[in-house]
Amino acid sequence: MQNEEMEDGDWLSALADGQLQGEDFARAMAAVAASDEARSRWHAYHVAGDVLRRADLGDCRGDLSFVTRLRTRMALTDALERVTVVGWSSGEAVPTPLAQEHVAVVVDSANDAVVRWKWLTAAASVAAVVTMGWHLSQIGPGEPPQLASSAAGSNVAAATVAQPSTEEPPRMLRDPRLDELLAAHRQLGGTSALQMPAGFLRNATFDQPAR
Amino acid sequence: MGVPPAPVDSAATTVDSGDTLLVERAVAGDQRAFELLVIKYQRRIQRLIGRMVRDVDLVEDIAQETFIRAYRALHQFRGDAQFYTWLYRIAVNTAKKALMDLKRDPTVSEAAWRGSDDDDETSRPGNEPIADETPESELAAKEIAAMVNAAMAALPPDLREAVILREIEGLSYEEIATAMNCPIGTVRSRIFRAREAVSARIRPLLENQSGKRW
Repeated sequence: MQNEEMEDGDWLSALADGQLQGEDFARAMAAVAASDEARSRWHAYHVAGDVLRRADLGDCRGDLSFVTRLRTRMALTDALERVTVVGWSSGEAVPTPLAQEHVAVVVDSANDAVVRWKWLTAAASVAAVVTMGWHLSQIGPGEPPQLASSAAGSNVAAATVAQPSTEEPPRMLRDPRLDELLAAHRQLGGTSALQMPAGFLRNATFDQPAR
Repeated sequence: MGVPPAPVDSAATTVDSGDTLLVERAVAGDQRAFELLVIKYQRRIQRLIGRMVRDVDLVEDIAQETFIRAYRALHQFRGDAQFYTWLYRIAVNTAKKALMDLKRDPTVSEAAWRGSDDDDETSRPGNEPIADETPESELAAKEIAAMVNAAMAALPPDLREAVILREIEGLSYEEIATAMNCPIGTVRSRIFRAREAVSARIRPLLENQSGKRW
């Protein structure tokens, strides 16, 4: 196809009839893509052909709106599919040429920030549940919870922790220093000089646990 | 609903080679190539669906879905059948699925779909109006048809013969050249000039009907 033929417009008719190949076809497609006029002529050629074959195919009032709507739907569908692919795979989505401009609209939606925070919150919640579950799984069924492991080497080492048992009665925690203090002041313990219970020893007792 | 027979396209024998190239181009990512196919076939597809569905709004929706499905499946088109035959099959299947969905939807009346499961476009009585036929659409179609016929009547005989052999008889350029006893380049030129003459007559009407910008 020569340049003058392209200028004449003969190529569009030949394209409609499938008569262009190779370089001519590529040039014709480039020309169609760049020209609304060419697409309008393409439409007119095919309407005329349809009407020559069947007179009732002449109603083409909705043709342009049909193509416009289809273009929009295809772009949205393509964009949604690509957002889904990006969301579910770690790799890059393969870009397709369908209305790339619509992709940005969908990806940068107004509630993107909210959605990201929701995802972050959900991930943190799951992590917390998993951590607690792991800790609970490390504790044996008869093992008491370990609240303060550092207490073993402190001054209160003598204090004993009552072991959970159904056979023995509960035993009071006793501090040796408190026992010494109570023994030294036994004659004053329990009541003050006014025969009233001393405030700081109000709940202490000399009696045995069996009382 | 039975499967309608394969469509007969009198002008598809050589046109389809152009369709195949457009399909290959669309598969390679050129959406404009696919749009050319849509512009070419949308009226026939809507007409076909209009024979199966009563609801006018549904006709366009199903046609849209047909072209979207076709676009997604374009890479499966091998070119061993005509593109319109392949597209036709997608349209029929899409319409069937839409009808099944409609029948399951209790909010949709039976008037929305057409016929029974045994119905297809070939079993429809010839005088029954199709979905997208309204007085306005009939008037618009008649206007365009009258304009095309007037333009054809005004053509020089050699141009008219060339375009009739091409559009109605579906002959290739080589066959037309043989029939008209002229070079292929002359055939190409005659068909082009005939189309331009007809197009010049109908384009103002088309632009009034469907808008100006493609």
